[in-house]
Amino acid sequence: MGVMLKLLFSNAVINQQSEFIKEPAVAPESIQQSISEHASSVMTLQRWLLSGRNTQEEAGVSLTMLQHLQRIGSSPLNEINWENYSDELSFLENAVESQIITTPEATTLIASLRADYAQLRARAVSGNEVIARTAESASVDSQSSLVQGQSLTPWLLTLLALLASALAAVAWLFYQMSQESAAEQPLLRTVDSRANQNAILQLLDEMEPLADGDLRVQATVSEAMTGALADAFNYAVTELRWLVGAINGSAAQVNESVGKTRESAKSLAQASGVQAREIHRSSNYLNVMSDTMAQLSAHAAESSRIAVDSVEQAQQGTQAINASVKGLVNIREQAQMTSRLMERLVDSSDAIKKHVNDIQRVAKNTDLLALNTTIRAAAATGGGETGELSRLSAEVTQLASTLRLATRDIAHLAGIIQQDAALTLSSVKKTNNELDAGHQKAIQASRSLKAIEAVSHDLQNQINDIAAKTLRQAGVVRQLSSNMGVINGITRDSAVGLQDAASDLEDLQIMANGLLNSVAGFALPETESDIAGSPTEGSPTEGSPHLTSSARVAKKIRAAVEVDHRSQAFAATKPPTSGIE
Amino acid sequence: MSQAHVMFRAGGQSFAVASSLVHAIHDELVLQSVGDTKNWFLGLAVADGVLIPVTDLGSYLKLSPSSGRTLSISPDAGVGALRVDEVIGVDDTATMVSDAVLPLELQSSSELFSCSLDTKTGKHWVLDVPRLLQSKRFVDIGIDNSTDNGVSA
Repeated sequence: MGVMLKLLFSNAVINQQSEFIKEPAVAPESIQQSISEHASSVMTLQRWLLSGRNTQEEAGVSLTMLQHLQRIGSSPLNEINWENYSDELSFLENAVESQIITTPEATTLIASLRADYAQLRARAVSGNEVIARTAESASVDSQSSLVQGQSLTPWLLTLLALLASALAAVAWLFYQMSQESAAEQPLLRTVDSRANQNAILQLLDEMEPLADGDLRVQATVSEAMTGALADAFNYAVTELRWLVGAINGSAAQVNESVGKTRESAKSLAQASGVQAREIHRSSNYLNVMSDTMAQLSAHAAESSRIAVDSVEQAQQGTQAINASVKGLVNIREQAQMTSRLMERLVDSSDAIKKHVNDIQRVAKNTDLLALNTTIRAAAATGGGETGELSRLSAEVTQLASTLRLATRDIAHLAGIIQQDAALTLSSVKKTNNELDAGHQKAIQASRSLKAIEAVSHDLQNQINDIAAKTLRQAGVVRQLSSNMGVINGITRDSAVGLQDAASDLEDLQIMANGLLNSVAGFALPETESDIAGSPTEGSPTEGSPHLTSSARVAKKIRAAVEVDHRSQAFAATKPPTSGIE
Repeated sequence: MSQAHVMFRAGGQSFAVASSLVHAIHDELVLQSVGDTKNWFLGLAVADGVLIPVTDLGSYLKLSPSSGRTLSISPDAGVGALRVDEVIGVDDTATMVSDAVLPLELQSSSELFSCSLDTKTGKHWVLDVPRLLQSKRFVDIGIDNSTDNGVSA
C-alpha cells in the first residue's frame, strides 16, 4: 500500500508537470493500436488481480499502469511515463517472485507484458523521431518561456499532492478497516465499524467531484473519524480554489499584457523595418551626394586649372596688346613720317607743275615763235617756198609741239601724282587717326586684360577654396554615410530582435493560454452558496483528461467497498464455520 | 611750185590759209569787248601796236566757238584777226584740190571755200580770207534786231 501511495503521489506530480509543461505529442496510429492492445492485456490482469484474495495492492498498481499507458498514448516520448510503467511492471514481477501472485495465467501475462513493453518502447522511439524532436524543442521553449507558470506549478502540485495524499490516506484507512473488518468480521460486527465505514464513504462521495476538477466541493466536518481529514481536505480545497483563481487571473493578465506587448513589439518591429529602409535610402542618397560632391570638387579643380590658364592667357594677351601698342606707335610714327613725305611730295608736285607750266609756256611760245618765223619767212619769199628756214621752223614747231606734249604729259602725271599724294596724305591722316583710335583701344584692351587677369586670379583662388571645401564636405558626407550604415545595421538588428521578441511573446501567450486551459477544468464557485452544493451537475466525465489518478483510485476503492459490502452481505447469509478463514 | 599755207582747226573743221595772208599768230591777246555786236565778234585787241577786230571763226561759220590762238590778217589783205582752236603748222607741200565736196556744216559759207588741201594730217578747206573780210556779213558786226540776227550772210 505504501508503494502504491508513493506511486500515486509521484504519478500525480508527474502528470501535472507534463500537462503544464508539454504539449501532447500524438503517437502514430499503429503505436496507438499496439498500446490499446497492451492496455487490454493489463485490464485482463487487473481483473484477475482484483479477483485474487491477496492481490488487491497489485490490482491498484495495475490500475496505475493503465493510467500510465493512457499518458504514453498521448505522449509517447515522455520517458518518465515509460519508466514509471516499467517500475510498476517490475513491482508486479516482484510480486510473482514473492509468490504473491501465483496463478499461472497472471504470471504468463506479466511476462508477456514485459516483452510487449520493450517492443512498444522501441517502436515509439523509432517511429516518432520527428515528433520527439518537435516535442523536445517545444519542451525547451516552454520551459524557458513560462516563468510565471513554473512559479505557480509547485504550489499547484503541492496542493494536488496534498489532496492525493488525503485521498490515499482515506483509501488506506478504508482498506485497513476493510481488512480488519474482514479479519474480525466473524467476531466484531459492531455499529461503530459500520458508522466509520459510512463516514469514509460519505467523505469519498464528497471528494469525488474534486477528481473531476470541481473545486466547489466542501467535505462535511463531523465528529466521525474522518472529521479532521475533512477539515484538512476543505482547507486544501480552499487553497487550491484560491490558487486556481490566482492562476486564472494571472494568466488572463499575462495573456492581455503579452498581447499588448506583442502588438507593440510588432509595431516597433515594423517601424524599425521602415526606419531601416529609410536609413538605407538616406545612406544611398548620402552616397550619391558624396559622389556628386567629389565630382563637383573635380570640376572645381578643372575650373581652377582653366582659371590659371585664363590668367596666363590674359597675361599673354596683355603682352601681345602691349607689343601691338608699341607697333601701333611705330606705325603711327612711320605714318606721320609718310605724311610729311607726302606733303613734301605734294609740294614738289606743285613745283613741278609750276615748272611744267613754265616749260609749256616756253614750248607754246617757241611753237608760236616758230610759226610766226615760218610765216615771216614765207612772207619774205613772197608766199612761195620757205626753204631751209621753213623746214627749220617746222622742226622747231615740231620740237615745241613735242615739248608741249611732253610737258602736258608731265603736267598730267604731276597732277596725278599730286592727286595720289593728296589722297595718300588724306589716307595717311585717316590712318593716323585710326592708329590713334586703335592705340587708345589697345590701351583700353590692355587695361581690360589686366582687369580680367586680376578677376581670373581671384576666381582661381575662390574656385580653389570651393574645391577644398567641397572635398572636405564630401569626406564628411562619406563619414555620415558610413555612420548611417552602422545605424542601419543596428536598426535591422533591433527589428530582428523585436520580431524575435514578438515571436517569443506569442509563444508566451500560447503558454499562458495553455496555463489557462490547464486549469480550465477546475470548476470554481461563483458565489458562496455554490460551495458544498451539489457538484455533480456539469462535472467532467470519466474520460475527461482531468480525471486524476487519485479519483480513479477512489472510484476503484468505492467499487471495491461495494464489492466488499456485497461479499459481507453474502457472508452474513452463510453460517460462520471457523475463526479466521 | 606749191604755196605755203597755215593750217589750223576751228569749230571742229580743218582749214588752211595762205601764209601770205597771215601777219602773225598771237597766243594771248587782250580783248576789249564791244557792246551790241554779234556773238562771233569777240572785240578789239592791240597786236604789234595795231588795233584789230577779232572774230570767232568757228562761231562765224556757225560751228562751235573757238578758243585758241588768233591769226592776225596781213595788212595787205585787210584789217582783222580770226580766233581759231589750234594752229597746226605751216605746210608748203600740200596738194591743192578744187573739186572736193564741201561738208554739210560749211554749206552755209560755201562762197568762202573754193578748194582744199590734202596734207599728211588730212583734208583742209582753204579759206578765202579777202572775200571774208570784204563780205557784208563779216563787216556788219552790230546787232540789228529788226532784220539781221547775224545768222544769214
